[in-house]
Amino acid sequence: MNKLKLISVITGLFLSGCTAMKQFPEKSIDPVADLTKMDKHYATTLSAINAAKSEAERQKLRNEAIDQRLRVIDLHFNNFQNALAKEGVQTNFSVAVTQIGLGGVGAFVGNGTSQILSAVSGGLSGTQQAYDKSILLDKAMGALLKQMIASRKAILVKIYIGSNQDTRSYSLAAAMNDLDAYYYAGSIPGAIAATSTDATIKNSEAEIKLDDLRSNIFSKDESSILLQSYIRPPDGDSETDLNLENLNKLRDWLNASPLKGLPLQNFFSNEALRSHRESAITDLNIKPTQGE
Amino acid sequence: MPTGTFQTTDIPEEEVDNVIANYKLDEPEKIEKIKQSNGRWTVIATFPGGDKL
Repeated sequence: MNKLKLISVITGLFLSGCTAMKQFPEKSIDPVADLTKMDKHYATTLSAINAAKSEAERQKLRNEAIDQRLRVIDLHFNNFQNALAKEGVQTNFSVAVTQIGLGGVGAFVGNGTSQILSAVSGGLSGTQQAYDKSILLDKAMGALLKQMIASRKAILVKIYIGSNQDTRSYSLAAAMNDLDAYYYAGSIPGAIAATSTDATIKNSEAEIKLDDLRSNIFSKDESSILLQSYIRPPDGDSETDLNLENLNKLRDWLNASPLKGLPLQNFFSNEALRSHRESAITDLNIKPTQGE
Repeated sequence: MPTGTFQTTDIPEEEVDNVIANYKLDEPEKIEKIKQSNGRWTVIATFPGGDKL
């Protein structure tokens, strides 16, 4: 969606006084009826799980629902990615250059030297402006797409881990919550939110001071789990054998980043470094491995 | 290669072995494990050279 369209959509929302102006979401007084109406797939799956005679059957039903939703989200995301690429700034840039070209041709009609010179210079400055705006927007969209891919991968790990747990540890509701997060991660607002969670570190990468990272409170998220699984497949446990090739790739990545000199343990466990971990996941093309 | 001292605090009991194993990947000269008053752990890894905590 280009800037003008986005501005007019936001303006329209405010002027029409629709959902954007409300303070609270709707409240349900009949959750069973509303659930069937709003999410029939979930309601049906939940009923089947509750009627199942064994834990194995409950897990199978839950995981089938997860697989179905994952596939649909991925199909929509692929279409979304393609649409962003097609409608985007390269088209705008080409159109802008064509318009400048037409203007430039007209200026040659008069045949004088000064007219030719001003047509050329006018064309160059106009082209430069079109280039700068389009290429900058292109880079911003590229960065957001990269964030979407990284965030989706990180959440996918959590879903795969959950799908190997029993339904008491990872309920259908918990799975749906993660699937909603997976969907949101593949959106522009989701990518912006993910980018801004540690914006201070991202925006001042040149100023990262190792001394500020010497001590951190232990934390563990999907990105740290995935990176540890990468060097100790399949589950990252300390008793599992190291994959030395992957360990060296991760070390090389870290040494080429602003976090050079940081121990792997602090890289894995510092909550504030999530976006850096997600960058490593994307740059190293690390894929989650579904449990057996 | 890291230099100086780094630490991770508030580590749950079940994660301590993993934390220590991860620090060992960078070959510290010393690793200490200290129990906190809240039952969680601090692991301190000291690498040759550089600044201390």
